[in-house]
Parts: sequence; structure tokens; C-alpha cells
Amino acid sequence: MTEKKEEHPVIKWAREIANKIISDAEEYSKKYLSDDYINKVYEEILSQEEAKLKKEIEETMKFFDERIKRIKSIPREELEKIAEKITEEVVKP
Amino acid sequence: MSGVMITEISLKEILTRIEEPLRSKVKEIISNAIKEAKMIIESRKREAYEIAKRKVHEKIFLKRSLELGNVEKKKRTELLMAKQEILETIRRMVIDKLQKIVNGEDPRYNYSDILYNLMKKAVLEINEDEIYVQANEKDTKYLKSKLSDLQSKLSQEIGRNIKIIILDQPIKCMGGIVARNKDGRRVFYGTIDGRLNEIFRGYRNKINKILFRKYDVLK
Repeated sequence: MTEKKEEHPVIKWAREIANKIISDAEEYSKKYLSDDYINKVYEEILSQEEAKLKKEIEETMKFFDERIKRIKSIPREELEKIAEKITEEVVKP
Repeated sequence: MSGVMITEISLKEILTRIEEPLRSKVKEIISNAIKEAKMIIESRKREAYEIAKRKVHEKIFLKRSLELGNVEKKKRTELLMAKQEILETIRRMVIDKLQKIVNGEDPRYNYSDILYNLMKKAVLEINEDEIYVQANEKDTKYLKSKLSDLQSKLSQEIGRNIKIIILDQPIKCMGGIVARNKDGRRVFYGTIDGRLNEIFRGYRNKINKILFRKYDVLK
């Protein structure tokens, strides 16, 4: 037969405090699952994501504008060279 | 977490009053509880963040598809139009050059020789001795005026007697000819305009591959 050793009152007290700390934390943490808190986080993430999307759109536009600019600035001599080749082929027997 | 803070302060006071090994045990129990409490709170925060993030992603996914998709579509069209403009510029340049050749304004080319070569090619491809030829009004007049010389030269070069009939039905074109045999079953299309269209079609790919790739950002 084993005799259960009685816990020191200070330890008992410490365990009670520990349980209280944990149950307080459980109670306190409930606010994070409230609609208000989730909506607040949602708005924060949304505004970050919208800023990212805006930047992505701007970069996409810049990327295409640069390509368009480069195409439009092809030197006339290059076009002349191609036109000359095509002309030769059209009139050659 | 004010509750936890107060406990931490009280704990320090209490710990000073008790002796080892009790002190260590109390310290361990309380600090484990604080750790667990922090984990509970962090886990709820993370859970809330994940819920919000999922909602945002659903919204942003749609928004991105619409807005970014529209911008890309618009810009791709602009890019295509810019390339199309270049192709058109080249085409206009070729037409100008061909017009000069046809008008005899380009000293490097002899349009009479070009016409003759087209006639010869027509005779060889149709492979008959009697060939009916149509050209534009100006060339019809010219070909009629040189008919006898043309026939002799063609007969001599091809090695058989060739008869050319220049039809009085001018066609609308920059230059060149359309030729056929008597029953019209064999036709040779040799207008300058037709040749330009055919050759230019082939060049579109080359221009895309060589010229546009050279100047496009995406190399």
C-alpha cells in the first residue's frame, strides 16, 4: 500500500496560480476569434494585398510600355533594310 | 495579459520568501503556465490571422484576375498594334519602292526585264505554246507594242515556238501579269501586288523572330 505524499501548500498554491494564468489566457484569447478582431486583421491584410496588387499592376504596365517604346523606336534604317530585301524578292524572277 | 504581468510581479516577491528547492519548483510551475498562456494567445492570434488571410485571398484572387487581367489584355493589344504598325510601315516602304521600279524611277532595276522574266516563268509553268496574258492598262499597251520581240525572245530562249496573246482586259494592279492557257485551266499569277502579298506573308514570321525579338525587352 502506497501512501500518497501530500503536496507542500506553496506548491499547491503555485498550481492554482498556474491554472488561473492558463484559464485567464483562454478567456483573454477569445477576443482574437471575435468578428471585430478578425475584420480588423482582414482590413489590414486587405490593404497590404491591395497595395501589392497596385504595385504589380503598375509594374506590368511599365513592363509593357517599355516593350512598346522599344518596338516603336526601331530605327528606320532597319525597316528600310527589310523593305529592300522584300522588294528584291518581289521583282526577282 | 495584465493578469500574467501581476502574477509575474507577485511571484518575484513570494519567491524571495520561500527557500530552495521549493523556490525552483514554484518558479518552474509558474513559468510553464506563463509559457502555455502565451502559446494559447499566440495560437488564437494565428488562427484569426489565417481566417482573415483566407478571406482576403478569395477577394484579392478575383480582383487580381479582373484588374491585372484587364491591364495585361489592354497592354498586349497595344504591343501587338505597335508591331502591326511597324509591319505596315515596312509594307508601305516596299510599295513605294515597287512603284518606283514600275515607273522606271529606280536605276537599279529595269521593269521591262522584270515583265519579260515574269512572262518567261509563266510560259515555263503553264508549259503550253499559246499563252494568254493580262496586265494593267499601261503594261498592256507596252506588251502589245513589244509583242513580236517578246515572242521571238521567248521562243528562242525556251526552244519552241511560243505564241503570246495580250488580252484587252486590263486588270487593276501595280504591275506584273496574270497568264493562262487557252481554256483557263492553267493560270500563272504574277502580279507585283500578288507577289508582294505572298512574300510579305512569309516575312511576317521572320520580322517577328528577328526584328521584334531584337528590340523587345523579352529577349
